[in-house]
Amino acid sequence: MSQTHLKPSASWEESRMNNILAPPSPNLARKLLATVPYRERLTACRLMEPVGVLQDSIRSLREAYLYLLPDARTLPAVHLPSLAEWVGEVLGDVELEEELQRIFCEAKSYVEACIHSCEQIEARILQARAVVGGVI
Amino acid sequence: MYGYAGKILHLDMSSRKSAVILTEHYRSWGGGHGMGSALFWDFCKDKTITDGRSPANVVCIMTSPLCGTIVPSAGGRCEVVGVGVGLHPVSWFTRSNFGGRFSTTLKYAGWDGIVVTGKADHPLWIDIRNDEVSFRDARSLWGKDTWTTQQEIWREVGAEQGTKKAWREIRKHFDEGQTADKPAVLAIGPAGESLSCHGCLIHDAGNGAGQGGFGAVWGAKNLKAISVTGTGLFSVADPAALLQARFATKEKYATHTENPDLRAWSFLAKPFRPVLFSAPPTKNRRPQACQGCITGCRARYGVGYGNESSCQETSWYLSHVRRVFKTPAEITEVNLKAADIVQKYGFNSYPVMAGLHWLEHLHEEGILGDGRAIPSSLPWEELGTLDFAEKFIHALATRTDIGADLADGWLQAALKWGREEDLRTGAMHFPYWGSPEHGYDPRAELEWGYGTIVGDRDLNSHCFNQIFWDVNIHFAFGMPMRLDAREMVETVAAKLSPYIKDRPEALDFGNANMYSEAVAQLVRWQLHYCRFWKQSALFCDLRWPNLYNSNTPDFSGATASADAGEQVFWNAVTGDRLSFEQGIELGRRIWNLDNAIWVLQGRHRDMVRFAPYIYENRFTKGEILPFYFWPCRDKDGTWRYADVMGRAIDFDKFEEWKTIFYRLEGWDTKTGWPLRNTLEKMELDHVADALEAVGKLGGKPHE
Repeated sequence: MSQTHLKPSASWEESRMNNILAPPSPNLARKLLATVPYRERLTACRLMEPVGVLQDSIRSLREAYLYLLPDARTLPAVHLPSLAEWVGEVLGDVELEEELQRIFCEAKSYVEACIHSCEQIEARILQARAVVGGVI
Repeated sequence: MYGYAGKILHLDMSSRKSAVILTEHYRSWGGGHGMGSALFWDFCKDKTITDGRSPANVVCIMTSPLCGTIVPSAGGRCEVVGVGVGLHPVSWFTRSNFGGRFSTTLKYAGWDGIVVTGKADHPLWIDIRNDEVSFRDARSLWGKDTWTTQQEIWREVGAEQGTKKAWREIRKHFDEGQTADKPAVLAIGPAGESLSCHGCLIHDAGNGAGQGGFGAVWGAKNLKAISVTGTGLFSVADPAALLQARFATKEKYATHTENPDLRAWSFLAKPFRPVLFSAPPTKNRRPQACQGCITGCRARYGVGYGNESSCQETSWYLSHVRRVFKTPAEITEVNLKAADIVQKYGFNSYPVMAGLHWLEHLHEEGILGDGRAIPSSLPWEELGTLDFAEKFIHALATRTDIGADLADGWLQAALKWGREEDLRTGAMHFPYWGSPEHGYDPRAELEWGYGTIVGDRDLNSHCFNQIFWDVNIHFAFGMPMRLDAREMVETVAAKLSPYIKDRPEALDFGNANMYSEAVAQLVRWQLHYCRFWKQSALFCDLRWPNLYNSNTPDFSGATASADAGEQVFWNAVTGDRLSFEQGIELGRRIWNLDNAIWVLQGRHRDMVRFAPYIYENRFTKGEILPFYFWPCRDKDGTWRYADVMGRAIDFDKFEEWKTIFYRLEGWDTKTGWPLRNTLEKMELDHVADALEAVGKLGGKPHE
């Protein structure tokens, strides 16, 4: 189930260059780097053929990033529109929500959407870190 | 009798006496589960027991004619049957299965299986060296973990540690050959000793009979371990035919080792590697397989932890570990050390995977914890650490803290704690018989859910589940499908003799077809196939059945094929002339015997129901999975892979489906009890008589 051979397409790179988000406010940056209460978690799981489905959840943007990082053995199973909605409603980042929605709509496959979402989230975390400090 | 050792060992724990049962008396049941069910029927004097910890329970550990042979992925499995522990509302007569070298060693020692009855007055372990059987005092082993127990028995039997070992005589005064093998030991740990439903049977480092609570069954009998040393042999009817079929499998159906097809669609044509949820801890590793297996789904590692753990036990704690540790190396190490913990405690981690999420939910909601409604002094804030894993498993294995309530079953604990609502909201993902969902929700994957609720425990049979994997992975990666939906269903349906051969509509899991006769036939096929070919002949679930195979030009799989089908191997070993369909029919007979036992235990069709959330809540996207593609027909009959999420099971329609299923099985549609005519056609007259004697034969006046 390796995903590592998949590379972002040239059109994606161009698209990404044109879609750099404005830096978050200090308030938003702090929220983006925080862990949300349990009740506001996003349900997700991991797939590993043929053994099954590993139930999981995501409670911070950093966890979402780690969750979507390509992994040679398993596949993240996240409903990406729900992830985008969670980013907007729970974390309050409407700009990132719209960008994740766009990625989902434009990606050629689910895995490509996961990879691009992961990169976008990584970039957003770095922006937040630049505003309030710290490392990913 | 080719393929058989010829004898079954009866261990009476109460009298500490052993006896020989001639295998030929049970030959018609094939082996494994079939023989086990028949032996249970004959030896269990009170089949109304609803808890496997009863002294009246009988547990059978069974091999098959294929054990100890070179049949691909069938030579090393072992089936365990008996009344289980921890299910709800009744712990049914149930089954478990494990691999390794126990079943083959047992055959080489001259035994086709072991029947354990009664209860000892103090802990014992059984020392089997070919024909010699001894009941030995296990009081010094009681309290020890499964690994220490095995090491102490190895020392006791005279086996040397490590791989550089000398030959030793199996018995001092008789010429019965020599061996360098360590005895194959099947043992329980603290979880089984405390009679917790989590108790399981462990053999070597990580072969476990997990589900069913058989560790508690052994604990209740004061049976700590069975050790087997064998130096004998048995005969195969047609070695040339066996080799020919093995070569045909290799050439035509299995993985090309030099040029593997990494995206193959099939079980047999897929390269295999250790089945771990996290990465292997080191490249310094050796593959480990059940005896004679072509797969090797486990490994032993130079780092000294995670040995032989695979699949479930490498996943029970992983999602919590990932939250605490960030580097892959740390995650792997803690995850595999958590796997070692459950192996040593003899602890079935399967219910914990979903159950721990539920406990986390209760803790986060302020219900579970120190001084809360459900008191627990476990360090819940440290969930995800190795220290928490150790303390948590210790508590559940020794009936301390919340382990006292969970020892009888998860649903039992939920009811005791007043958490019925969690079965309505789905916060507790336990859809059937007090058992957790396997990851394949009954609202989407019908054959898994339906097959489980008409059976006895989580089905755990991946016969058709391979379709989910192949289709959904290709969808996820945006790759073209190796078989389009019509090719898929037609290729698979060609294998589904005798019930639905060339009836592809059985694989239509769309909303319009989900309660149909065709789906009922599909469920029957899977249940009967598994009861014989998978659980009695002991073909491994990771490789069989092979219903479709992208290695072959017509995508046809090895299952039921003339050159490498299940029946080819069976006949080569036993000398039988069994057809594939006769094997399915034998599976039906075994399934009917099991159902008769469930009826005696108290089953009625009104009990055959899912947890409320399966009926009341839709399986929404993002609840667990983002999509769930399966072959479906459009209104115009066109086949396509469609997403079957977003629906619930309709209670009334599922009740109608049960009526169809019971009618096809030849059971009373009002009660689910078998009809005399059905049993007599399968030469189960004595079973019909027993049911009639207690007023539980279908078609008769009933309450």
